[in-house]
Amino acid sequence: MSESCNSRHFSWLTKSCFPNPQHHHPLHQPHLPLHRPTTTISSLPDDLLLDILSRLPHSSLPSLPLVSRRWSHLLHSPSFLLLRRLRGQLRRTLFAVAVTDSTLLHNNHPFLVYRHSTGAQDSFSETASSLAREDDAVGIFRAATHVIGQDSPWKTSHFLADRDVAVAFPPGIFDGGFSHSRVLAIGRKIYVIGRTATFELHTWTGNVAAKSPMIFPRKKFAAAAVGGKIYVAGGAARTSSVEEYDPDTDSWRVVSDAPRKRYGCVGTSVGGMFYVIGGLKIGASAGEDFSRAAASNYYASSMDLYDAEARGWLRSRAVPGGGCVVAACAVEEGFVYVLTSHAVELSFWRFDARRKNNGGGGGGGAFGEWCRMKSPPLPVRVRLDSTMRFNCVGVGNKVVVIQVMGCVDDLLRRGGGRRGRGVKEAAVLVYDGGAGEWSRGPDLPEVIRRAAFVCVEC
Amino acid sequence: MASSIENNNEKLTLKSSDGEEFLVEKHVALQSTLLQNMLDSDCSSADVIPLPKIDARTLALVLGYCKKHADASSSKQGELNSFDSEFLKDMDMGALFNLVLAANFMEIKGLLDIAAQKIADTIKDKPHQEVREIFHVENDYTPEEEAAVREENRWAFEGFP
Repeated sequence: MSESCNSRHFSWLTKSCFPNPQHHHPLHQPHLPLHRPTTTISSLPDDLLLDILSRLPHSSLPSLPLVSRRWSHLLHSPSFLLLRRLRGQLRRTLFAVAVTDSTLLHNNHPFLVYRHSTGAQDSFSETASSLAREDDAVGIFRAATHVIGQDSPWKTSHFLADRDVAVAFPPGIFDGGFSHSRVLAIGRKIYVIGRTATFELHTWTGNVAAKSPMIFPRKKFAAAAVGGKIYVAGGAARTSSVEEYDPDTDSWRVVSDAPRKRYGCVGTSVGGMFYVIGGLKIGASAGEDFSRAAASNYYASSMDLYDAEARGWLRSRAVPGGGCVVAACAVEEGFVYVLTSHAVELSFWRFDARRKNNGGGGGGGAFGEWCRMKSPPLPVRVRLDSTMRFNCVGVGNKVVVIQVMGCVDDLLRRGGGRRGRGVKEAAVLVYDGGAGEWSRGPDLPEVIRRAAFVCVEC
Repeated sequence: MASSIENNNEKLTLKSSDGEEFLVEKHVALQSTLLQNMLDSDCSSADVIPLPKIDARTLALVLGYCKKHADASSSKQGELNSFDSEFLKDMDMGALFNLVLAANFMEIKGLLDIAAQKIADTIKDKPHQEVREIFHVENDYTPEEEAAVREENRWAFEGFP
């Protein structure tokens, strides 16, 4: 130990930290700084430049990749995202992405996207003419954005595509099918996966790019992002394959076969696991011993678990209360929340998805445990049928449940219920996993209907 | 050998890249995690600690910062804050970069924070051309590439929270 201290001049230090300790500045007058070689931002190592860039407010970031290749590279690196997160600079923003209505289709504007954000005071009124802000740009997606927990309404905006992107995917490709497509986020990009088309939406620039479609066309399938890749399963009669999408190479490949062919299922992910939840059985044959109803019931409340890294399936689980899964999502601390319907009431369950090796939450040994949670505050005697649909998004440790179809008010009125306490379409309910309580978020704006939802850290 | 170190009021000597020596009180040097670790690991018996990438001008600034913060560590935070902002005021960019490099190397977190933030504030709200000019960043995109990147950034996404 003392040996390391022998050097009178800390050669260990200069060796390890200074690649060129013999280098001397060719200057002879240390007190005349004007004569020294100037240190510029380009002399800073990557980690210091990242440190500086990560301090910038969001509004300054979108144009900075234009400065140079290096800046672009750094701003798009995972380290940048990590630093922003550590610095508390990232806001989990909930995006609602929606299809435009048929009048807009006539104007060659097939889709709308909405994004709901904090602090925005913009009006929600939109006109078709505002969609095309430039002649060669088409607002093919519309978004509303919102930051959960902030007392501001949703902010609406558009994702724009070049006309050639829009023309390559003419109106109709998502027609009637958009609500069956899935929306996911990787980093600051959103992926919209439709039956036969995939789009990448950039949340910094609002740009839309066309990407490769899935190998097998799917509807009402399960999809989730795990480790920077997208996994899809179900929703196809012809195959039980699980596909993986790599955004870096823009390519899909089959990675596994699902234990069950599901349709109308929900996907989510946490802890490296892709969860395929609920839905109906595809292709139940008349020759089966069990009644189709029994088989369907099992599908509706069951959950298949695919370990994306190990490329293997874990034992399937089922929601203890049975019923029919209507929505599900995962939250960061390692739980999967499932909303199930039992004809006239909803129940809300939590699945412990913390795996032994992830160290989160101190537990980990309780993987697989179900726990019934407080139900969302919907009027109890709501008849849940195909006219009502819910969407569930994990935002940090909160669960956001958005009613995307139907109107509880109408049902209440029909049933002689009280007005005013009901829940109309686009109601937003927020469950705080820490406090175990529900609260009401701002309703979705009128212009956004049948949206798909995703949380993006940006 | 221990000529620059006294028992009670210990001092050490730091040597800048351009050969200037600075006699520093130990409690001031302790603001630097790097120096602290060196002193903890009993490496403090060297007579001179060379800092070959930090020039005298920068080292003087760094030590000024350290002295203020060491002497005032138990006093009012407000006073230190105003010292910090005054400290960086009117400093040219070259000096700021040198300061960031030095603070990073010597592991002086507070100084790194304020200097990096000062640079970030300069970048803030400026178009990319202006950022290039201010910081002398060479545009290494080919015209085609730049057009493509620019194309992607044609519209600022208005939906941002």
